[in-house]
Order: sequence, then C-alpha cells, then structure tokens
Amino acid sequence: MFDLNLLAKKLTGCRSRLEYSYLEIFERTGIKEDRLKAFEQAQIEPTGDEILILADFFREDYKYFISNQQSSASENTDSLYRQFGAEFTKEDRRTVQEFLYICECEADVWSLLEENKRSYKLPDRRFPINNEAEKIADEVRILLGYKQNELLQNIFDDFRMLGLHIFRRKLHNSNLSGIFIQHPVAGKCVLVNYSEDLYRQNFTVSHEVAHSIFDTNQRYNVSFTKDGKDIKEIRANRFAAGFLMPAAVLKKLKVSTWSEQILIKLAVQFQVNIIALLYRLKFLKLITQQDFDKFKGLKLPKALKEDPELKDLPSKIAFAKMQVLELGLSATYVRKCHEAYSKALISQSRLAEILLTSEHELQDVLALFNLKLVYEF
Amino acid sequence: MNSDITKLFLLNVIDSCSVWNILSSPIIYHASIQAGCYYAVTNYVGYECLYKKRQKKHDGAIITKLEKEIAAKKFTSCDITIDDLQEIGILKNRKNLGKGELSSIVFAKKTRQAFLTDDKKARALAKEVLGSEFVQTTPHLVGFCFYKRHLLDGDFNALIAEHQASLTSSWGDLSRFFKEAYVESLRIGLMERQI
Repeated sequence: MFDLNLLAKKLTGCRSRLEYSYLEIFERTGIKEDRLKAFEQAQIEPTGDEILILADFFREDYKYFISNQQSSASENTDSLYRQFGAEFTKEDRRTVQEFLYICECEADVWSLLEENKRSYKLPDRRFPINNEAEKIADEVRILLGYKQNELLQNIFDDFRMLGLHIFRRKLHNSNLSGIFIQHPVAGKCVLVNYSEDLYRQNFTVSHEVAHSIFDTNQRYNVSFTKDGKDIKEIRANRFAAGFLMPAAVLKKLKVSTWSEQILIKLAVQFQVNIIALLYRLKFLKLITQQDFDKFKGLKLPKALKEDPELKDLPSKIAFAKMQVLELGLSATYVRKCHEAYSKALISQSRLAEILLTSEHELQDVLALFNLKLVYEF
Repeated sequence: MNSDITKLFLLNVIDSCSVWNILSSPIIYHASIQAGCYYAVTNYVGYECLYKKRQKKHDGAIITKLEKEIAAKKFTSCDITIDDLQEIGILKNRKNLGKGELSSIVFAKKTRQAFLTDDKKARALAKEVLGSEFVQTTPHLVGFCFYKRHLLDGDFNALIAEHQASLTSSWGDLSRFFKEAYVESLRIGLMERQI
C-alpha cells in the first residue's frame, strides 16, 4: 500500500531543506503550485511522471519517493543544517545536494564497472595519541603504493583509490573548506571548496580524508578555513601534513640556511602552500621561530599552482572546462561515467543525468575531456 | 540495418533524443506524419524537452515547434502512474537508463505501443521488456518512409543536408545510418521487383 503521508513528508523535507518556494519549483518543473501544495498535504497522489520530475529537480533517487525507504542521504544533512544552517546559503545547499547525488552516481558507476577499491581501515593496534595521525598517514601512503621519499602524483585520484567519493565544487561561503559526509548508499564522501586555491584544496582533501578515517562514528564533519583547537581538527591537520609532507623526507634535507627559493621549490614539489610547509618544518623542529616569522608572509606565485586539469589548454577551452570542474565533474569522474556508457552499461540519457547536464549539451561536455558519443544501430 | 524496414508500428512512444532527431528535420517529420505515424511523449519527456531545455536557453524555435505539435495533438502527452514505476524490472534498471527512457518504456508497455529511441542501451532494455518488434529507431523510420515511398530518392540529399544543419547544437550525426536505411530500402525494392 502506497503511503501518501510518507511521500508528503519527504517532499516537504526536500523543498524546505533546499529553501525553495512553490513558485520556484513550478517555474523549473511546470508542476503547478496548487498541485505541489496538495502533494505536501497528502491530498492527492502525484503521477509517476511528476515523481520522476521532482526526483530530477531535487536530485534524489526516485525510488526514495515511491518506497517506504525512511531516509535518504539528504535527510542526513538535516542535522548538519540544524548545526551549521547559517553557514550554508541556498546555493550552497543545492551544491551539497548535487554533491551527494553525484557521489551516489559514482558509487553506481563503480559498481557497474566492478571497480575494486583498496579501502583503508584503522589498525587494531593503537599508536600514541601525539603521533597517531602521522603513523596512519605513512600507512596510507604505503597502501597507495608510494615509497617513503616519493612525491605525490594526483592527490585526489590517490584518495579515490581508497573508495572515497571526492568532488571539488565551488561553495559561496568562502569560510567553508570542506565537508565529510557518510552517505547511506555511496559511503564516505568528501566535498572540497573549489573556490580555494589549488594547494589549499590539496591540504583540505587530505584533512577531510583524515576525518573519513578517524571520525567514522560521525555522520558528517564540516571544516572551516579557520578551525579552532578541536582535537579532531588538530589530528586531521597532522594527518594532512604527514601525508603531503612526510617527516622522513623533510628530515633528510640538508639545509643550513633557509631561503625563499628553497621554500618555494619545496612547496611546489609537495603541492602545498608556503605557510603549510613552514608549520610542518616548525613542527618537525627543522626551522627556527625566527625563520618561520621571516618567511610566513611569503606567497607562491599563482602561475606555479596551475590546476593539472586545465594545464596547457587554450584559454577558451580552459574557461569552459573550469565551469564544468566547478560543478564537480572531474576528469576521473567523467571518464568513468563515459566508460560505463561505452560499455553499454548505461544509456546516453543516463550519462547526461549523472553528468548534471542535458542530452543536448552532453557532447559539448564530453568534448572538453576528448570523449565522444557513440551511435550504433 | 539490423531491423526490418518493411514494417513499422505507427503508434510510438518517443524519448527526448528521438523527439529532436525527428522534429529537427521537417522532411523526416512530414514524411512520418504522411505515413500515419502518431507520437506520444510522457510528461517526463515533455519536462526534459520543454522545461529543462528552455532553462539552458537553447533552440527556442524547436521548443516552440514541439509545443505547437503537442497543442495540435500530433504529439500526445501522457502520464504513467506510481504503480507503473514500482514495477520490479523498471526499478532494477533505474540506474542504467535515463528517467525519460524509463517512463517511455513503461507507457509503451502499458498501452501496447512501440518505443522509439536512438539509444543503444535503452533499446536493449526495451527489447527485453516490450519484445524487439516494439522497439524502433529514427533510421528505421527513415528506411520505412523510403521503402513506402513517403520519401523519394530526390529527398535523400536534402534530408542529409537538413539533418547535418541541425547539428550546430552538437547533436549526434545520424547521416551514416540514414544512408544505410536508404540503401536498404533500395535493396529491398530491387529484390521485390525481381521477384
């Protein structure tokens, strides 16, 4: 028996969570306001097509609306918004919703492609609390196949190999660095604010991955640009620093006098900002407080921090691709989705849905990644 | 051609990619109407074609054309129910197909109409659900129109030119398949004359 009251509750939840008015939904879906209100009051049953339209608009799996499934990933964000509501603009709430949606889509694609991931589990043995994060960072590097002194290649793809869903999206609130959310279907998901500079994003993703390893009893974690003295945040920062700038490598350096050139060269190699490097050197007692103060105002030239996904592209294409990247569509995600399409595991229309575009624009999006649609009859 | 272009179901539930492939070519569209084709679009496909597309500010003329055809009842809007969506086979495939394809397959099954799509994966699933004779494509429709002489030899080049002109919006080029369908219609015509 279909539960109209449960559907009404779900639809009301979706609309209020994303702060839409009935008029806005009507303008973007064509479903009249009086019908929308009647759905939310359990007075009438929507048609199957209306369910599909609303699922598309709210970025939900339509099964959620037509089954007795009690909760979806977005319902889990209710408590997040209760705690940090003021920090999330209406646009950012939509961004989080779309992020959760593509995380689920990515999980579906991985499953269709039978991708095997090397998930990391905390060992039973415990490390001393003061160097636990550092030890775990070393273990994760080893699991990913890095040698002790090897530089990282693609930090985002590395963490994806652990089975984490990682997306970069532009958030309006520049105080938000990243979010870690446990998705009931997709698992561990990390959102990094694409508005931040590239090297800061590297630190943020490593920081959020730490939460996904250490703080699994939490349904979510929100990291701000300026985190306080919370022990969990300190541990996540230590993990990020240890992962990006291994102590073993830094301790091998033989630097008698620190200079701007040396710091810039090291920061570029580790793909971190100068300030993160200085904190790391200070933590490892490889730099004096005096040198720290001397260089803390040093900034890396922006040109050195070129996004690898935009490297060497003509400016027009780089601009178009940047807009796509801002939507969270990384090259890795697009390629995996396209692989599922090429293997006829998903249709062209489904490919458009999971790439957050229309069928009409699909070819343009794919072209940015040198991919094509295939027609066979 | 893998399909028998001597036969065509005239009642079609059509998905959004085929809507544009047919409507963007007046030659194909008018020939199909002359052949007696009737098109139904589910309201989800209508939403994809009219609301979602309009938000992207593309192809205003073709959207208006679809609206006109719907108003003239040449494209009929139809609805599926929640019960239809709950069908196990459909639920199971919801992560493989677009929602427009799912709703179209469901409606085609319910009303015993053919499903017209140009997508390979959607065709594969539709064949399982509806039977292969109930699954059709735009090239198949073109082949049928040539076979039945609703399209004449002189139309071919104009049809290709018209189709390719509509590709400015990056839509997929089906010219090769239209040519195969046309050649197939000639081959069958010749065979029938010899017999």
